[in-house]
Amino acid sequence: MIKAALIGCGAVSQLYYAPALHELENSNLLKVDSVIDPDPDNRLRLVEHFPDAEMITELEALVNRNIDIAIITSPPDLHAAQTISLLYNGINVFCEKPLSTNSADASAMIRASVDTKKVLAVGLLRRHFSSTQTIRKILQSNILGDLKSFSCQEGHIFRWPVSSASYFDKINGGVLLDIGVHTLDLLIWWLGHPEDIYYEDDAVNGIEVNCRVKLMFKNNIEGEVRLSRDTELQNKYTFYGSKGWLVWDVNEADNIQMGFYDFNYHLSAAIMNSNENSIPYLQPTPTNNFQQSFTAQLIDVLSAVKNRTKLLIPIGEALSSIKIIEYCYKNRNLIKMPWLTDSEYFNILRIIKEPSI
Amino acid sequence: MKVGIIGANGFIGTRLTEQLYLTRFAEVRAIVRSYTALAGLSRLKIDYRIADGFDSKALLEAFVDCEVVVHCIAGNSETILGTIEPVYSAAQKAGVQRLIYLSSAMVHGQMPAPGTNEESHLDPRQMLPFNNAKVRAEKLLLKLRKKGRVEIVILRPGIVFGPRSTWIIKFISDLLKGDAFLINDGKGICNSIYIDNLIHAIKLAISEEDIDQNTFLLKDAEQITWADLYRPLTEYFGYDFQRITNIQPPFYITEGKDLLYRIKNTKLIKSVSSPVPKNYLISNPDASLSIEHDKKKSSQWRIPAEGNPTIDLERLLLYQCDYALPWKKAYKYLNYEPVFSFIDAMQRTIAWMEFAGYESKKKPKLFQNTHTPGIRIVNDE
Repeated sequence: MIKAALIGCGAVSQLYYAPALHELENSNLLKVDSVIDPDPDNRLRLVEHFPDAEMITELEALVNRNIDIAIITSPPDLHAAQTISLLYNGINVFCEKPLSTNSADASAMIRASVDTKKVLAVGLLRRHFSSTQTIRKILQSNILGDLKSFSCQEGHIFRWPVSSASYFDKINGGVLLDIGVHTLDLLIWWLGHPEDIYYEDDAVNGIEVNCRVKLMFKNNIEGEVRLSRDTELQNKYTFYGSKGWLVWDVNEADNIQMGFYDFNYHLSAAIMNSNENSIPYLQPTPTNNFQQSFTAQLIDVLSAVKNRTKLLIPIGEALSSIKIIEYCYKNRNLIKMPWLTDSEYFNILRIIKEPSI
Repeated sequence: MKVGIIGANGFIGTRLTEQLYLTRFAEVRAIVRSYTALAGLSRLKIDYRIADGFDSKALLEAFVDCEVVVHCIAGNSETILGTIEPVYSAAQKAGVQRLIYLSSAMVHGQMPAPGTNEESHLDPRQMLPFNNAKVRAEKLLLKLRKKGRVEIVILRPGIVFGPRSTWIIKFISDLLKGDAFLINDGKGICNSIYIDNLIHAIKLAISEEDIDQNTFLLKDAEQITWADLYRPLTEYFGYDFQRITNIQPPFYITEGKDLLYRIKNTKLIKSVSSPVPKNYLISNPDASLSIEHDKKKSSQWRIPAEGNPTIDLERLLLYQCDYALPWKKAYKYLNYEPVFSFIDAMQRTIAWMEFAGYESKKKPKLFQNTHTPGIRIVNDE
């Protein structure tokens, strides 16, 4: 059986990975051998799910445990060093998004995977949803007519249970690196590489809490990505074609909405499985929900490790969104904050230019 | 001067932190309950502490070196009341000179009687638990001051609106769902105060001398109605303000006899003995009163009507307010004068709606396009 190690026992592990891995243990697909985290409380919380797992503080201790796959959920700035070290020690790696905080590190990770012939996979969960896969098919099929524009809005008042202020360190990026890596990855997967990018955010010597990326794709398809950690946005991705529109509610794994401009009704559709060997509409079976998709992405990696099957997300594809994010950070503009006074704006510019003021 | 802001992640706390930091008015220390609560402030590089408002020990550490502390903690009655003593006691031990408490004009009720001012009697047994908690919190603070050394300044803002305000967000949300409502065509007086006018008052409360144990009502300069506040928001979406569900008193109380007894003493319900409602009922799940469509008439054969407003007691009363609260005392002793006109405040609020991703169908009449191109921070060299 595949032996797994979980590296990083913070909130994402506790809330998502632990139940998914538990499910895989119950299905005899893997065994969680060890959990690693510098924080003893975090380790204890994970061991509650996996009582037989060894609690380890240092990555080096994994080397002699015959681990098949390491699942990395540590802070993003640690991903590269941990991944490269594990790969060169013969351990396959599944790394939570973002693959890395910069493209140089991400490229080094991918090179290490090629050199060692070990699997490197990334946790871009949303590509595993039947909804996002259906959107790709619809956009490629021209059902909406010529695609004209899009708007991707994603924002909540931040409630993720972080255990230290380091979560908000500049090195780990803000909302763009955290959420934008999903959005940009999907857009590239759906529409190809953008031809033009304009970026703005609200960081004043800290990290971006709000940002906007304006993108232009082939055939003059233009739109914007708006992300926030302090504002409840619509949390919808909307596409406008010449004939109709399509809406995806963020994180709806198995639902989309679609309509036509000249018609009074629209579809709010649950996505079902189709199979060449059966007549799907006679016995429709639902596709994976959010939680099941989480488990499915791990099964995809386990299959690649065990049977050398192709990953749903070839690791090279993870690089594109990171490169765009890197470009955005290097070419940032100050987002218009219409409630600020002129003197506040003036001081922002001073502070940004001279952080010591 | 170092100013500690407890509850720095809330609506008022966030803007206060931002303004004090960006205008260099004072050194700011943001004090929040958890690391998660730092998210919204993380765009600024500011001093912070983690301390729960109930935890005197953590508060003491958080208040060290602060000359002034501003209490902006919001929450339920338990939080409103339960944080007063720990905050005051920690402030005293830490050597804080002045504690500014963000109370509310609601201590006078949602429909204050004509003539109400800072000296009016405060009833701790009003219909809404929030009002009572604020009344008791104020009284407790003044009692603590009698024995303690930390100066107290109490601010009673009216309806605080602006970017990120729950008043704005709630109305927009209701409007987009078709659930928005008005009472009496929105003619009731809205004792509004734009967030930055309140921040201006807080800055005065930090710096002015000889205001210990004073309480100040605060509002905008203009006397406005709820329709004045809501009409531009409605027009932003291209909706017809006249089509918003308008409810005319009287109302019919079906549940909550105890509540009914108390409501009967108010002007609102004096008219209740006259005929009953059209198609609204008031129900009372605990203290949060709501009006709903008459459920008895529901039928699976009925084609649903647009909108189904659920009306909480707070708005039910506020929308019928007919008295503009005074701010003479703040003017006289705090040197308070609103720095933003209502029109300017609404322009900024509406511009924020665009920032917050609300798509405008039609710009409201008072809206002037204030968009300027983005300011480039780093050159691509």
